[in-house]
Amino acid sequence: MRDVLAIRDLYLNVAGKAVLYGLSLAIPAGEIHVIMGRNGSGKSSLLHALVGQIPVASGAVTLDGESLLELPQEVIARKGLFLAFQMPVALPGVTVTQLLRAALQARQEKGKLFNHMQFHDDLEAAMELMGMDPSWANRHVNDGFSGGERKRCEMLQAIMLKPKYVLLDEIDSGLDVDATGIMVNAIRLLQRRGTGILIVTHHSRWLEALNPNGVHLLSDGVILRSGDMELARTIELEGFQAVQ
Amino acid sequence: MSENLEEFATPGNFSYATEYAHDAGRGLREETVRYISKVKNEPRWLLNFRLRALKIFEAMPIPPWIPVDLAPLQFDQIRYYLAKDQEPKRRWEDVPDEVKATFDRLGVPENERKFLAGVEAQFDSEMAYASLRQSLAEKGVIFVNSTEGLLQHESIFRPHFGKVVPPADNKFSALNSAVFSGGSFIYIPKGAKLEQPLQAYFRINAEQFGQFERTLIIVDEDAEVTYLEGCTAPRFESSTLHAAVVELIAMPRAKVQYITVQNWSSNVYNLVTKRGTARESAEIRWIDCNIGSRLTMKYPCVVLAGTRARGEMVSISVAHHGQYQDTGAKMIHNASHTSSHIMAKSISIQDGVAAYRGTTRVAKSAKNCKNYTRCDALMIHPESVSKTSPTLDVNGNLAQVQHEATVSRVSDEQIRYLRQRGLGESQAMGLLVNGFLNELLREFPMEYGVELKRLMEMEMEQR
Repeated sequence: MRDVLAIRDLYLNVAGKAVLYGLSLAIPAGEIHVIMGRNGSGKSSLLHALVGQIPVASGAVTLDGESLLELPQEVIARKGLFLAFQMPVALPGVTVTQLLRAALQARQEKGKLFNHMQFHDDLEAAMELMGMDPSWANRHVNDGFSGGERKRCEMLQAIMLKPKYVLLDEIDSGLDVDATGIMVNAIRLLQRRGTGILIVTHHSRWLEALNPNGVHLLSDGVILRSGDMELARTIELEGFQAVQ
Repeated sequence: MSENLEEFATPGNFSYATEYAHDAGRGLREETVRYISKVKNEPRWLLNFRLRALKIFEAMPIPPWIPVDLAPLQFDQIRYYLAKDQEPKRRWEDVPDEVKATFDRLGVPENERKFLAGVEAQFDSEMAYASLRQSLAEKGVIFVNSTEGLLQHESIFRPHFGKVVPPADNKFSALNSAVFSGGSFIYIPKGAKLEQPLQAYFRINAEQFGQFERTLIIVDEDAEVTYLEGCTAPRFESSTLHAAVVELIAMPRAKVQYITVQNWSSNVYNLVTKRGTARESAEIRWIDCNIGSRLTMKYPCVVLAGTRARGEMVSISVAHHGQYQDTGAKMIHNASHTSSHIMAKSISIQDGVAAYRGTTRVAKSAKNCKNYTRCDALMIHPESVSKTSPTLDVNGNLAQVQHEATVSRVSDEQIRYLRQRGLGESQAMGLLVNGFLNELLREFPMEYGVELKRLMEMEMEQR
């Protein structure tokens, strides 16, 4: 049986307001799925709930059959869920290298030695893929980064930390054409590795190159419709009312 | 090295059984001072110096601005002198296993042990280990404990001793002057530049035993030296007093760097007077890291006595629950074209208090002096406290004095971000704290830097 991230009948309240009511969705390993929906429809809240940052009211979230609900955020992260934040916070003084090393060491079995050589080789390769020059390694995480630089840095971490699932919260926003191309390549690399990918976005055009396995419309707190790229194209061209 | 750091990972509990051959009993009277001086075979002039200092100590009130009640110290219950009856050792093989066990526990890196040439380790008030590397001896460097210094090198020692920090400077320098034992005497002859730092490890091991080491470093013209001292204290139930005095003299064009890392258990009162005099074109750098203790009061000072002298202070303070770090620096510009630089970073955890107390003074006769002061505070918890009290006293002409300060807090958003990356809450805080300190940690030698990072992580775990 293939690994799967399964969401069943999920209810979620944010600031006393019901955001999701009975949402279900399954993302098999190695597949790319896209969620689209109006502003405020709960897309971003869903991603934060999956990684344990917002408590859910009821429902189930399982990774390969194991429940993720009630687990501390860092445990969910170590089990393989990575969220690329839409607006990641700055960590003054903490370099990209230090963050990645600490995050990898936190995942390592106790007593095992950290392979620094391997780490630096991997980091160099990942930065090259992301079009980042070597000076990035010593920059302070998100401190004074432009919007596009923050997105790249998030994706760099997704590549380095080798999660089972990557949740991308509007990873395409604010990117120029070249940067979008880099992002598409990175997502393809993750997919080749067998990583499951859940993308929240408002734009369909950049998805063409990714050929997602599923496109889902989040509306009224549930997945109202599911389809393929054709659904995304319709939304982009004709708006949400055309598909509701 | 990593293995040693693992050993180091258990906070506190660095206590080992030791037998003490000399003990001056509890409390401080004239007989106590006479006893110490006699045990050490000191000359008359030094006994008189000690007795004068005792009178000053008794006459001076406890400064009213001390932020923490000193009552738990119980001056009459302290043991003022306690020494292991050992001659300084020259070979590693001769060091008792018990002392080696302490080094293990302290995480003294293996490579440093090899370099124990040129290293002194003070085990309680006398040196348990002292070995001079051949090359140091060839250069004419003197590196001995303070008693050996005053007995064997009186002609160099005596004219400078107690001049930079006179007994009457403050109540605790008076106390130190009365009962001091241990500490180092170092003389670097003209033009000698030491590439290898001189190191000393200090620790306190006897309950209720105040440690009063006294260090005098004289760096002659054009000479250069770096001195390292590191401290950890065993965890004891009752309060412990540490009142050290350090005097530095940098002759014209000399360079002195004095690096301290102290990690006291939270019952220690650490009241230290450190001061250096920089003559013409000389340079003195204090690099100081204070972790733990109930109260630390320490304001390393550089008196810029000669033209174009330079003073620098790099300070890190960490105040945990129930701890008060009152630290800072003093730069006294008594000559023209002198410059000074102060970089201070403090971290307060839980209800810990970290205060910066700094003074920059420019004498009326001093012209074209420069000072730059920057102090940054990081507060980890909502109840953490940070205070800043800079004093600027500028009388000379054309002085440029600049003071910058920042205060920041660790945000929930930063913690959540790092937890999403797989770090536990304390790991997240450790990373943010090390990020905050990064820039200053670079000023420490690499082994110390690694050790300090580890210490910071440990501090975050003690919740």
